[in-house]
Amino acid sequence: MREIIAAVFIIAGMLVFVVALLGIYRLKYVMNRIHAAALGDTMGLGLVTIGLMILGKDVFHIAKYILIILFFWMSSPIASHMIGKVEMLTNKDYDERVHGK
Amino acid sequence: MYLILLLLWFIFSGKITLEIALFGLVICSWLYWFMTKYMDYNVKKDIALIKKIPLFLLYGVTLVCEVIKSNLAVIRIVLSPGLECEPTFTTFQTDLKTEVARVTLANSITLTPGTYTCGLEGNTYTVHALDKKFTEGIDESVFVKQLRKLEESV
Repeated sequence: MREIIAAVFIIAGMLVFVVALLGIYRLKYVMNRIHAAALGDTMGLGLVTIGLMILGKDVFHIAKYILIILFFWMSSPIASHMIGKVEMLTNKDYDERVHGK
Repeated sequence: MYLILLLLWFIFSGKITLEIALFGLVICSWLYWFMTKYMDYNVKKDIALIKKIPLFLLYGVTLVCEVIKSNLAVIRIVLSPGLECEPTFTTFQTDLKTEVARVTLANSITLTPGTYTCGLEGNTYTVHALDKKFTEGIDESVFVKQLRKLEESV
């Protein structure tokens, strides 16, 4: 029973990753693509980790998975922030690129 | 902070034995001494932090709820056939005073899909949103209210 619940969570997480990948291809322009990539970072990773937590053997495993989420959620926004900032500073004709396509 | 360090040590070790516990106590004591001497940590601040733990937990729960909500909204946009979205930039000001609260707010905004912060100067945020509806009420979101409560409870 435990395995089934865990599998449901992991598969749901994988589906979110698939949607994120689809979004990266479907959306145009880097700034919109970041939003799609954030799907995998947050909900995809969260669901997969919850699934693995259910499979975890003792309390240390679960604590480590919680730490993975914690550190990832602290560090991943910084990366997307830097990408966004660089794009904003270097690309002046934002409107043209978004609406011209 | 000492307890957090010790807890991290035990989690990374993976088991509790006498040897690990003794090493952990010594190393964490040294590290805590280093932090108080050079990194502007002290016992008083730690006690103030302990009092705020319920508020931090509440903030975490709110963050998870918001992340799930906006995830579903972005998934709907990505899977919609025509990609009905209107990317926009918005700027807004905040009245949060401490730097930590401001950075936490920027981080939370970036963490929720659909919006992310591309600029933070002083108290002005530049936020890029995938659709206009994500920007509604962003300057007075639940994050701002909770962070304000965290700041006031010092």
